[in-house]
Amino acid sequence: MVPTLLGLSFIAFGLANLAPGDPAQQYLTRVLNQPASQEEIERVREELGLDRPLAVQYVDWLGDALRGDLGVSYATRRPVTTEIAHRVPYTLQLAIPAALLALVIAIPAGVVSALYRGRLPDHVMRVASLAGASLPSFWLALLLILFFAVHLSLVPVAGREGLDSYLLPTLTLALGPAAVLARFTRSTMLEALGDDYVRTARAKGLTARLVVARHALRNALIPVATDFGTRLSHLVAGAVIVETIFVWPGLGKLTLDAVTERDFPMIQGVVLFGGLTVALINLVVDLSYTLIDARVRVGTKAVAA
Amino acid sequence: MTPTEAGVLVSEAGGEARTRILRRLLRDRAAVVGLVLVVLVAAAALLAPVISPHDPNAVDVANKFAPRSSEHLLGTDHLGRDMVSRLLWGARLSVGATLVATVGIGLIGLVLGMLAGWWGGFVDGLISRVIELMQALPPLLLPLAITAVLGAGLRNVLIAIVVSSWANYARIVRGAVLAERSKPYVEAARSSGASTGRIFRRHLLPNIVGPVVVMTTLELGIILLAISGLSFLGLGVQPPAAEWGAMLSEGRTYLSRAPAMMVYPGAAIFVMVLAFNLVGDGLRDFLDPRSRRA
Repeated sequence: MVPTLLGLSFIAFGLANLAPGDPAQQYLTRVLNQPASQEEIERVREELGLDRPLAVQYVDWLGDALRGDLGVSYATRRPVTTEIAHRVPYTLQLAIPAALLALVIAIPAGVVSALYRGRLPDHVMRVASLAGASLPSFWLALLLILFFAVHLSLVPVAGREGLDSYLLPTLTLALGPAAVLARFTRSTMLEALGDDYVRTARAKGLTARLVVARHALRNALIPVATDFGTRLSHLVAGAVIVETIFVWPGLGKLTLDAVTERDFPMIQGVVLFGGLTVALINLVVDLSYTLIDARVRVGTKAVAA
Repeated sequence: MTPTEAGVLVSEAGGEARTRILRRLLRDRAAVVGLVLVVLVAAAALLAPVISPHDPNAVDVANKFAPRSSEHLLGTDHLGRDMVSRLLWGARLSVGATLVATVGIGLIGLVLGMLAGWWGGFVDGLISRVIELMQALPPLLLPLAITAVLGAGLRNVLIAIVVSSWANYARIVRGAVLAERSKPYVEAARSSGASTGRIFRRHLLPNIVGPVVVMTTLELGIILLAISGLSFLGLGVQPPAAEWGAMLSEGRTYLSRAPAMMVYPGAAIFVMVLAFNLVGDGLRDFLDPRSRRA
């Protein structure tokens, strides 16, 4: 995890320094909102330490970043960390229901599909999940808006007012992950159903329902948990397209605004935050293996792999 | 047996394998549907200049939001431009850009994956760390950040996507090379004096081609979604150019007045991605035994 975080800091620092243009001049024109004279540029360059070697600047920047100081946004002139912290709750309000909805759809669909392998429910599920995985989220969002907001006037077109404004963005966000997780659950379930311990359980005379619930499902869900963790972390990092369409004040919208305004301190902030989120959620998933997978708990990792 | 005879035998075996793969692919109905769709869109893209009924950029404001007619099969947009022509030319731009990006990603992924898998040690350690790093970033975040540095536009978006998307490719290739390199046939080739380059070309490449082909087909859909998504956000192909994502973005403005402007380009992206996924799934079933659909 440490090399990943270090690399992440290289990327974030590098992005702003690769950008064309003089950072001192950019800072002046963006933050003070006035054309800068050559003297002022020199003064700011010295003040911000931009005249020092890049390596020194990097170490300095990293030190500040570790203390939670990511500089000031060019666009809002407020600290980047404050802006990000302000947006996280809005993104979570969509990400968590969407992730749960995806699970609620995907796991039963995947299990039923595996149990009815090659029969009608399986075919329906496979067509639906393939279609779901191929749907562009921006198109789905607009279709949902057209149907439910414009034609039926059931929910607002965009914005965040009242509970019903959560419906369309949550649904849009959930569908893609649901489709992929359902396919994945199906294949791990089929694998588990073919395993020795399932045969043993059946031979012992356990009912089919008990075998599925206690033995097959439990083991089939272990790899699914990893995939779910990745998808959850992507949702938490901010859904740029969906938040933009629904004008949702979360991290995704913040990211796109930072990109269109070339607000580099903010871009550095969202890149660091996104990478950190993925790394942390992966860590939590790895640790939770000890809870759901007995093989890891006993410490025979070779068997589990 | 002379080397030439051996070469002929090998290429004949290759030809037979190809026919066998094709025959099995044709038995998978879903894959056939996907293949037909891919061929149709490819033909539309190639023939757009010939079969387009109108100039895709010809503005005719007097005729805006025209309904479907024999003159305009799918109607016209807010500037009176013919939808069919724009969709056909859009196939050229959207699918063409997808191919360019995928080739770039494939080349970088193939080279870095092979280097890491073959040499191991420090090279592998370094490449593997970078792969882990790239995979720790949420999708679209790095392409967005790079676009911010380079500025909007198709060329910059392609660079941003290639730079951010090769990691998964390299990881798969690295794994395949690692699995192959310790096998006896590689050892035999090496001990009989074959150079590293020759081992790569004649032995490793043919043996990892299965997972790479599957990966490439599935990657096409992901890349098409990324390019059209970035264009939709206003960062990629700029209007008035006819590209599916940019068209969808224009259509969003007239959502309630002319839903067709949003429905058709979105449907085009959906069908194309679905087609790539259908073919990729079908190929995976017998080219990549490790992830065989049970």
